[in-house]
Amino acid sequence: MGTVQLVGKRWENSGLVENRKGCERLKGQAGYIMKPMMLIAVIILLIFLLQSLYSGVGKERIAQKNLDIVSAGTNVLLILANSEQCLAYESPVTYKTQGIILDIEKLDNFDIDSDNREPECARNYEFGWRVDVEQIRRDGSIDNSWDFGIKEFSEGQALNNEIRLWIPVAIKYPKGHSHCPEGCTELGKMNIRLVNGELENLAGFFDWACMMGQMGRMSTLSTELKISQPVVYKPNQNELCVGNSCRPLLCHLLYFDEGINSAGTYELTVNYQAPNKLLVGE
Amino acid sequence: MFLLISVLLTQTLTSKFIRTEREFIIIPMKGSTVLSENILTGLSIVISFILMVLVVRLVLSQQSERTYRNLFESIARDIALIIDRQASTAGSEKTEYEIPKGVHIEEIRIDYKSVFLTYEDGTIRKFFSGMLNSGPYTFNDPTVFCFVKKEQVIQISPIDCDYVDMGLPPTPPEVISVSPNSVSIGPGNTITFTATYRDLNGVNDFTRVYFAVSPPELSIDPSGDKEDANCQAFEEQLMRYVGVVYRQPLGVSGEFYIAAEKDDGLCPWDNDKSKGDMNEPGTMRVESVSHTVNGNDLIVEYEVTFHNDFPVGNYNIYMMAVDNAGLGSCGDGTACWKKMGEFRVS
Repeated sequence: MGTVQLVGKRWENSGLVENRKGCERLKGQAGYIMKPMMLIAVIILLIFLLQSLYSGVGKERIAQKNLDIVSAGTNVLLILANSEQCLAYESPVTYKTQGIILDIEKLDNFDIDSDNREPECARNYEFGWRVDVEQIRRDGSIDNSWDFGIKEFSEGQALNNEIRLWIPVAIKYPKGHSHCPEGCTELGKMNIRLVNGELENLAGFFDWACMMGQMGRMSTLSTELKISQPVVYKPNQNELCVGNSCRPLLCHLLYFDEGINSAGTYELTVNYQAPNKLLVGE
Repeated sequence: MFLLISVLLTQTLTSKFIRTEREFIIIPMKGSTVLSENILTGLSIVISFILMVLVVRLVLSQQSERTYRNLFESIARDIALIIDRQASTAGSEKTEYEIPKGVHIEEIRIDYKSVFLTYEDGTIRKFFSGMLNSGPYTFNDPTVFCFVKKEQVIQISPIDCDYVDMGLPPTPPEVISVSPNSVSIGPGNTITFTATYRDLNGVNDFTRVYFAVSPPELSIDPSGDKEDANCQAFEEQLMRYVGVVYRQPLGVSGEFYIAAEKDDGLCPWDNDKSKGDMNEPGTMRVESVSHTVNGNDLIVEYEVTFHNDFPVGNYNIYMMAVDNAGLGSCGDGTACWKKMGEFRVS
């Protein structure tokens, strides 16, 4: 205690005490300001760090989705044009499939049979697509056209992404065809609109589960889906609708008459019941 | 966010405390009060630092989990892409895909328009557009795939494409070894035989693998090193000893059949009694049959109990395998039983 008083006296006597106290007060006040400032700076830094990390993740996800849709679109077009099971022309002489040359008979059949569904030979259960093939005259005008694939797609919030692509093709008419009695090959263009959305994902899952059940591969399947618009099932037409867009299903759905009314992420489990029914559970 | 709030609270609390201390310390104990303020400041810095480290660690662990999942997604995407590219090719094609070194995939199932990839943290599903016209395929712990497209059919094998000749028939399966291959036990004991079978077209190419403990029948080979298959005399005598067949799907572990009964026109494996676990006289019981896969090797464990009334004597251990193309393990593509070891019940 004595020491404190002595030191205190010496400061008082030297006349520096007031300055010293003023400095300490200033320092203390600066400390009061500096600490919250530092805290705010650190929080801002952390928020910036997190935001930049998560925005990177978001960009990566978008890039992946774009990559998926571009490669799916390209592949569907190429499969349609090159696969004998789809539209590719097979030579009656060599029995070899000729790529990018479309068989007019198969094209006519697709136009009739696949008016509101994707042909199975090139269907992707994650996407929905519609293709139109145009036969082009030498002057560039359209001579003839065919279209097939699904007619309605997800819209608004339910639409994730979509793409339009085209490739040049040739259309082969055999001898004896009314358009070209001596047989000929015409120039054409095959356009695709490929869509990834909630309707395509949900209906794709039901159709895929139906096919897997019918082939005896798996009877129970599950998936997790994000829904942002009401989902309605129309049993009479066997159609599934998201918002205003509908598409037909392969199997009839049981226990799904109420559909899904509120937005959210749902885990759906389906159980196949031969010959064409799916029992749906949430 | 929770951690951020914690940092905020800690900072606020400690600075209040410091303020209180500062107001309090002006009068007495100068040295000790300065020390206590320093400790508190240091403590707040340490706590803040720890909390920041935790936040950063949490973020980075989330990132690394995502990167890890992305790795498997890209493998599934690659497989789907290869299938689609092959489906969109007009002619025949062979493509090899190697799983990146150091990546462990538990299982890949390639089914109708879908690829399921199972790794330690979950399963990824990818759809593709092309038609396989074959399969489904299941591969455990695969390292490499060979995709072969020929005449609208895409075949997938878990082997280097060097081994896959598009013009030649598939490779016949082989019987490799049995362990133990020379052993003597007393009646009433249980023993586990570990038999290894190989198929260069992948383990999914096996349709049936066989195991037997029997005296030689000497019908086709005087040395007893080979015995006749196809439900002939040798297989008929297995009803009295040990004869087990393990069939596809190999995923259904434990589904095995016993040589136990012989009806006209049927093999001794194909009767109701074969679905049990005892031989015809009931002197032997197959406790369990299970398998593991190592590359192209199928390793099957047969746990067998020899009852007290199992005839004492010297026996041979035989093995046989048949693949999807109907090829057997005799060496020339036919099916026959090969002697792989010796066994004595004494």
